[in-house]
Amino acid sequence: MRDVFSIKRVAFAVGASTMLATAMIGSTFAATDNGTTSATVDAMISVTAPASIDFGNGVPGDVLSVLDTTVNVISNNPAGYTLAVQTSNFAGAPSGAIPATALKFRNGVTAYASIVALNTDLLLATTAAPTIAGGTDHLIDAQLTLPFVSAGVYSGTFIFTASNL
Amino acid sequence: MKHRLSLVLVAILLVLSLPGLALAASPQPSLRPVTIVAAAGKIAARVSPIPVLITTAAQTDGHIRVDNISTLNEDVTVRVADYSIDSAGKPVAAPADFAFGSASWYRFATPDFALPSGMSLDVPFELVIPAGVGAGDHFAALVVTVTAQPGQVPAASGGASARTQLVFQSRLQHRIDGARPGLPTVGLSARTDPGIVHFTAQVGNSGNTVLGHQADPTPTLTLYSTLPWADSTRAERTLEVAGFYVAPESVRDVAIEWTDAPLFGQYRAVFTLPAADGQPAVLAETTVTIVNMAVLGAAGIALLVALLVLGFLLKSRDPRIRRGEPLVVAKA
Repeated sequence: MRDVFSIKRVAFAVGASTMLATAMIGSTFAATDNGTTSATVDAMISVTAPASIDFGNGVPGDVLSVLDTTVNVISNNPAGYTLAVQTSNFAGAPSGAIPATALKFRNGVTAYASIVALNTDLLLATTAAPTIAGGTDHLIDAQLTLPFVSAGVYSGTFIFTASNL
Repeated sequence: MKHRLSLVLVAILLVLSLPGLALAASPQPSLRPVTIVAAAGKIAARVSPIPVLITTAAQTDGHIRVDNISTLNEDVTVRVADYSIDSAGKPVAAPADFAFGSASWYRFATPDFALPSGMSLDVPFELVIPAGVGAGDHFAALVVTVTAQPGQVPAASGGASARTQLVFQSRLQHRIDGARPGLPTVGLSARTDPGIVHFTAQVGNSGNTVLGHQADPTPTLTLYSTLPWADSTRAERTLEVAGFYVAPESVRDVAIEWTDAPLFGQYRAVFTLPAADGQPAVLAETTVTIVNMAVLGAAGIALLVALLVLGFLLKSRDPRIRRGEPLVVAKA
């Protein structure tokens, strides 16, 4: 009988505490005043691109193309963003190099534009507004004109730069 | 039984206080999981928040958050570099004598780190504005570089291939007390091509704050015909000029093109930089004469041909010359 009474007391205490806590939480959320409510949304930018781009094989004089490389940009910046690309020289193994200026790029159906110099940005896209939630897919075509270089494997780096405006 | 009751109450209090504990968490860097949205074989990252304008404060703490939303492990570097701004507001390499850099004001606790796939990291930074720094706007750029870790991308088997690196850039701008708005000086020049007139407005910002014309009111170029028979007070054409920025103590060339220009004409062109940022409106003007030489040449040839034909016709109708009759030359 004593135990039963105790269990009742505990149950009552737990119930009362829970109700009190619920009431406190409820009062927090249900409280009303005439103040204003605001939220700050930070600017963010996200870029997704293939980790590597393979031009395949060719002989000097060939023009190798990689079409429709998707670079996705998500930005909520009200002023928009720019997307640019620059490339390194392609280092050859065992020797040789293909200069960055052998590369051309275009975004969508625009005309190809050449990389004018090493470590120099080539503008691919510019917008004056945020993207949609899923971002904007930029379909980038890259073209490499193989100069007369030694046979071998050549590798470089493409740097895609997204800048918030 | 009292102990049980106490335990229950402590448990309830602990549950209620969890959100508070989370809010009071240490700002130290800590890896956190994020949702993976990128497909395999792609490099991807998200950077936030991106402060653009930080107003005067001697010292500020903040953080940059980098999310690895790729399925690849990535190496990340966070830097602040001395940059200026181009006419679109994008960070560009600052000239050597640029006196408004602020890159050295930033200190990152962990500027280089590895970020496993699906994780995120808050990178704390401390911004300390040096004592005695000059008044006005100061610029830098946040540069976050993301690369797939070695071994994450298969080596090229042959031919030519490129690995991808992502760079995120964002302008950082600080306004130090004592800002002096720019008093822009504007010059205007013109050059004509067939069907198009190229104007160049040289906007000089002599102040120590950025001169920005990105929204209303929009700069305009208005054209008034100055031909004798035209109403020289009525604007014949008004071109709206895309917004632009001019860095402190610098000059920016603003290109304006009149693409549907007439073949011939004489105009007074007035470039108006409207009042903004506490600066008065500024005007500059020039005159431009449009003469399409190709059309003029064709018209000249056509006129010559017409004169020849007319001459022939007049000659053939001369009553003194009759067809079919022998030409008689009078002898003295």
